[in-house]
Amino acid sequence: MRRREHWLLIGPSLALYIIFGIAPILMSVTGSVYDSGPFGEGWIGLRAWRDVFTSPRFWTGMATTMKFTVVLLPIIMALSVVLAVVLSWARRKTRAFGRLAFYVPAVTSGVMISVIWRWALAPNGLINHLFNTDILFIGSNPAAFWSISAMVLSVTLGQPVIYLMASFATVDPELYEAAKLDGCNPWQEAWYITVPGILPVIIYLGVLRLSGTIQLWQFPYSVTGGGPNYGTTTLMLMTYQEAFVHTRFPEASVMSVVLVLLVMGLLMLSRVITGQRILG
Amino acid sequence: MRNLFVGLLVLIAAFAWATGEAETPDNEPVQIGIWGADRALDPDNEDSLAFYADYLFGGENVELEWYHPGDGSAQPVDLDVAAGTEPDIYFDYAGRVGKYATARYAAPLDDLLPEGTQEQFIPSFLDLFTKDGVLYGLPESAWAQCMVVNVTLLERVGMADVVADGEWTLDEFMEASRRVSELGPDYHGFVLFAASTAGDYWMLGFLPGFGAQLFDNNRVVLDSPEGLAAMQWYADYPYAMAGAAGLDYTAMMGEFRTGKVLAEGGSWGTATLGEDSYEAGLAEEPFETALVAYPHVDGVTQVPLALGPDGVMIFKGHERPAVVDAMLTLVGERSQRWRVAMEGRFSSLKGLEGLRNDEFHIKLSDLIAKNGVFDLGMSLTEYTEIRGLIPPMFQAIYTGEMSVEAAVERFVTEGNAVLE
Repeated sequence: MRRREHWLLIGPSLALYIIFGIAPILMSVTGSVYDSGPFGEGWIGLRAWRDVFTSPRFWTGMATTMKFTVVLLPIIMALSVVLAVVLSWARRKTRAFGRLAFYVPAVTSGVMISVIWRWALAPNGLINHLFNTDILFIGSNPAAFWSISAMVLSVTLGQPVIYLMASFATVDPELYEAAKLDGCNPWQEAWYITVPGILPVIIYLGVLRLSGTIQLWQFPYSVTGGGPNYGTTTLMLMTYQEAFVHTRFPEASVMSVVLVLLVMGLLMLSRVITGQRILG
Repeated sequence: MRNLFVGLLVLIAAFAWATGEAETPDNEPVQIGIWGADRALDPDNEDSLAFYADYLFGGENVELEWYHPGDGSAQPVDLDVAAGTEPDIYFDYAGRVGKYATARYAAPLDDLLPEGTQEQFIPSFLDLFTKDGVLYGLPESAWAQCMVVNVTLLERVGMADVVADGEWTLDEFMEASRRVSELGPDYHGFVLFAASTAGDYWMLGFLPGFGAQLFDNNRVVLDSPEGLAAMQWYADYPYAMAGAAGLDYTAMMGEFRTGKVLAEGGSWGTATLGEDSYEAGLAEEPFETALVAYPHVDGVTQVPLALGPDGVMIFKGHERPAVVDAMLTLVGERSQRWRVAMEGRFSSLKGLEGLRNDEFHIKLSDLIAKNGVFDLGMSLTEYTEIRGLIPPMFQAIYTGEMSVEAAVERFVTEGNAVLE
């Protein structure tokens, strides 16, 4: 294929990627030192960077973000693998139903899911009503943190489960036959054959989830508002609030850049840890 | 790689050029952005917007756009600002208009307005839209905040007479709350809420009854003895629904409409609330309501009411004569007569008092005249940001993560840091 045709083929995607992927990052970098737009102050140097890094609230948001990441990522990945393995053992109809059940929340409106969860978790909501309890799911800490985590789990499990189930087909069937001859039970087959066989897919999904979890904001925004007492205020939510509640676009730009660097840093770390099994 | 980088720069430059703004000719339609929370019009109905445009402007040379209320209601405005597609005029409540003044988005008006314009307005209203001596917005009408009481419940617990004159003491409110709560586990005195800033003025309405102030002389002063006493009361009030830190004002309103809650925060327009709740299937039987001032402790003789005015501003760079004319129409007599008549609001223009003669409007007017106005901080252009610190303060108290003193101190410190 000639070089020109090469560019013609990737051109549209590349243009979209540059406009909606790269350009906003570059604009965040410039926006953090230059207050642009019709109402901007112009060159502000590192003032916004200093303001953000000396704000205790920023570090609280950073800690909450990391807490969500550290808690959610292993749970999502472990549960996804277990569910995918268990579903793959099920009969065809059960398997189809399971795939659908796990995937539907992933394609349902996040706002609708938030409304349903909020209704279910309210002090006089469905769960307290059903179990005759008085648990303050979103009105106390750390219950709010775990409630948000449960919501994230409910919508994010679907995609990795589907991907993992599809990846099982790539494992050589002869390995399972050999394992059966050696007397392996299904769990041993899963642990010693399936999981190593699809490890690159697991790592790839882990990287996707890592980036998604660090950018968590929808459920804290729509269910707890980042509360109570800043208990669920993530870095991404803070970025939104800086830009669209406090109209401090330079500070929001700083936080956006920090988020990008954080995601990039963790991706590089995962690349080192996993011996570059992905991305190269 | 170098080619890619150069291409990238060219793309960004082209993007910046393409989105750059040209000067707008004066005969272009004036774009007016209106926040549609409490209008007597239906924001979902474009016809009602056309009707409003026709009523005020004869349908000519204006384009009205609703910014829908709800969570993050100002978000679309901010997105427009970020994209450089903001309207010429923005019409919202004072706090959010002030936010844009703080962010340097609002055009100074002193040199734009015809002579004598300012003299048409009640001075205290005009003060709310002045920052550092510069007028950045014009006031429209205001709502007045009060307490709505379920009189039927009060009668049931044998205390109907305590609100006969429109005012009651905290002891009377507590006793009534206690008696109502004893009617059953679903019965409450008042549903306290602190999940978000929406409707927080109804929560904060208890402050003046303690003689407390939120702001004084451009400072946050909730750490006064009266302020701390009030906050301690919020922490200790035993007749509220559990979980205030996770409840918002819709919980307060929803529970009150069941007919099982003694009182809620409210304003004009609740005359048929009990009947409406019954017809909507929310209450088991219709109930009567009355408007009263929030309760007060002994020694506090006047409980001022909070006023929430709307206002209009012109975005900087949009100061065309046609835009100024449209702004004056929006705050003019015809507009304000509409809102007083349809929504029971209180005009910011001199000489428009007493437009309504219904019982509730007269009662609120009397209470305002007698007790004065509580400063919710809307006169501060930093109001939106400071307001955002209030829910976390209550949440810290209700979750038990901070003592009342510590939570108030954090709020006062952070609030005053914003003001500095």
